[in-house]
Amino acid sequence: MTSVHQFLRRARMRLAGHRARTWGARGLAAAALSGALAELAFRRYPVDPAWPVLAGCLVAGLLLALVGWLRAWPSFPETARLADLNLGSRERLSTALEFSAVNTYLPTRQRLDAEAWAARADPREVVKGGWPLRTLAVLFAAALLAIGLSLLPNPGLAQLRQHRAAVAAQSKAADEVAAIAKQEAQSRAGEDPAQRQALIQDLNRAAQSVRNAPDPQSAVAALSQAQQDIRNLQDPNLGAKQQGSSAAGQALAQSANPGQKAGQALASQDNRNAANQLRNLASALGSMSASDQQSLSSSLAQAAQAATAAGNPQLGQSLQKASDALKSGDTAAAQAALNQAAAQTDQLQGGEDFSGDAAQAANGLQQAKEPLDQQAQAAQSGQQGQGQGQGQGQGQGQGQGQGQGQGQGQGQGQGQGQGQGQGQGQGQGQGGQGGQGGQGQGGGQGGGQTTAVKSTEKVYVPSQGDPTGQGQNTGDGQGTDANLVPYQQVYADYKAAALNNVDRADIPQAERDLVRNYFSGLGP
Amino acid sequence: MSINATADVPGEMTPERFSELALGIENELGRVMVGQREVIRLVLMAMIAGGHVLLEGVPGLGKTVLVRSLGGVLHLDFSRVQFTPDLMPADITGTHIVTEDEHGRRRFEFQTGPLFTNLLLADEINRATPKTQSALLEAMQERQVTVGDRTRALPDPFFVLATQNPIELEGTYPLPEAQLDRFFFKIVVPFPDAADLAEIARRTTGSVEAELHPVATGADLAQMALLARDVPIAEHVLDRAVQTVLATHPDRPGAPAEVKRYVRWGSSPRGLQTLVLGARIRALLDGRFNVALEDVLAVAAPALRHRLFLNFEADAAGFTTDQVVTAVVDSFADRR
Repeated sequence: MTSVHQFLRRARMRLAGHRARTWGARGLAAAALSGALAELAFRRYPVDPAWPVLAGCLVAGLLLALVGWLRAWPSFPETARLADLNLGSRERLSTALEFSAVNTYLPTRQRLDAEAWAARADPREVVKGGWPLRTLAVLFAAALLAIGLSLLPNPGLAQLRQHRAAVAAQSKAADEVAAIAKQEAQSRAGEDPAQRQALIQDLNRAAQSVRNAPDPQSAVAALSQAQQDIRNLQDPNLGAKQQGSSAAGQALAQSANPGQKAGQALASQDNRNAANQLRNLASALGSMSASDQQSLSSSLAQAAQAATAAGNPQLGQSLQKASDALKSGDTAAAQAALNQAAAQTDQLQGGEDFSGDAAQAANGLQQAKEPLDQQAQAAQSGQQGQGQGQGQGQGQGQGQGQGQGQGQGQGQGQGQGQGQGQGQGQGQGQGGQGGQGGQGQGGGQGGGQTTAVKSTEKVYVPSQGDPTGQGQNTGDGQGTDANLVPYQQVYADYKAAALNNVDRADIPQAERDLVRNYFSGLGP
Repeated sequence: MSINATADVPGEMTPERFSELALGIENELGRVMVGQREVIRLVLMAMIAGGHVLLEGVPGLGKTVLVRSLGGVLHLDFSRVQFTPDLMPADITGTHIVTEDEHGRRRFEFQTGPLFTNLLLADEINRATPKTQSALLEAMQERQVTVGDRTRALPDPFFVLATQNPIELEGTYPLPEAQLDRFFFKIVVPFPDAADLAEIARRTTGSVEAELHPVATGADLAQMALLARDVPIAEHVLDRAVQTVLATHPDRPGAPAEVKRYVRWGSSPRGLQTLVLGARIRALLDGRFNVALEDVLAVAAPALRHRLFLNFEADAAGFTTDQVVTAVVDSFADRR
């Protein structure tokens, strides 16, 4: 190996090292720039998680560096030319390299001259310049920008996460509702199959609505609607019928007669056993003595009166028919009447079973609704947290209740605040009978202060169902609307929170007074 | 590698001998020519290359002295022709005249003109008519003269050193492009500076006149030319020469703006040959065994300035071919 080749080999390694630094810096700068651009793009098109994209930027930058470095790998001729240029060797090295295989006179002399020159030269001088400072400056600035952007809160990303959580919650709620529908698909003896079918349809429709709902609020509304539909499937007179049946049983069980067992079963609301006892009683009528028949007739008459008085006239009517038939000695008619009473008792049990299933389904919907409620509230607070001047809405729901204390209130409020941002709301409520809790919703719109923009937000305050299952009949049509949080309480909570935070050092004094005055003006 | 490579010396010429001869010629000429070292070197390079030289300069700069001194230093025959508008081609090529022998028989005999010499000084060549100028074409390119039906070879070596005056252009005939292209170099003879002028005054007004001694011969020049043609040139250096010539053409994409604006025709391939050969000779004169980029750049102006033809806009703007060549050379400065 000649001294020219040795020199060029060393110079090439120097050159390759220098280019590795250069391309490394370029690749990292490209990665940092693309990362910063990605972070900027995430502001408009949020991505979660963002780290794969950022890692991709880094990998792309390193790939760029690697490819660029490999493509820039210096050849011997290039090294020789750069050495000639930077060392002032006047093309000695490149000529010697190019004519290394030519052995005529002058090329040989030229090689000797080049080798003598290369023996004196320093290969480190081939590389001009050190680190690529300009590229490093770009890298530093881009990295700072990317890190800064990644540390700053990203409203779009928060919205995306909230949306995903909402979608997940909706999907989970829909699955739960579908599971309830599947669970409730099994019919029971004595119930109306059409009712069961309607329940299943309502549940499946609710599951579909929740799954396709555009937002958690809509999903909550769909579940509420489904709850209402399910409640509408329940027999509102079921309680009265049961009371009538129980009263009839108590009357029938008071004296010793052949129907005492049936009476005891009815009194204890064991409807299935009571129906069997009534059928047994009907079949035993033919073998019963006349005195027993008369005694039974008398007891059946008392039971019929008690059933009618307590709210189950159908059962009372059947029992009365049986009593009358026995009294006239028409055993066959009495048997038919008692079998009819047994069938009515079976139906009563079927209704109770269905009502229980419906209540269970409604409770299941309520449980599925709670996570969606949380998502809806989170979305609501997220929207309110964006900027000032969104306004505050207040809604009050007024409900009208009917029947046995089931109440559901819905309120929608609209209002424009002037100065202090108060709003007025109007609400509608419906009340039902039975042992289910009510639900109310209230919404409102309001404009806040002088800088506020008219708000389009609706504030929903979902109710809590009555866990006791006992309703209250206000009787005057005024819904209890217990599911809405009283304004005084809301006001007190918000004012306390505001005044606790307003004393922070970074809030100017003038702004503190503004907040205090604002809540003073809102006071009830 | 062994230094025995010197055994393969082409002829008797070595780079050391080359330098020694060139230095001797330059020093000898320097005894009569004050200053003008660059002019002397360029003329010497052209003569080593076997090319002709067009010298441009105002009267009194020593152009004639230079050519006459070259004849003495190189031991070459020298002729001088003062070109005038009434000079006819036969006046320089020679003509047939009627002669009478001892028997009284008359016959035509060819009387050679001043062209039959080694070193021809064509003084103020642009004052002759194109017809006479064209008579030089065959002589300069083919080194032969055809008169009547007979072609006669010119002595070897044969060099034409023509001069022209950049002023007093009235009554002159600009040289045709074809003839300009046959000059190896066009050398602009600069006006001497104050020190040189003083030295000129001392030398030419004294009683002692310098006596020149021949230091080389025409054969030496031929061997020097052979050696020069063997100087290796790297591919990228050759490519630079090619790109330089191409850049003088206004229709080329890489041509500088000045070329696109002012140049009508760019250099011919002879320009490239001149660039490379001139660079090779310059490398040897500089004591190197290979052509450097700077050699190409150094000979670009004398090699190309007479091969570029400017348009009317350049004439109107006073833009010269030297400025075009400078623009071309500078356009490569940032591409190194």
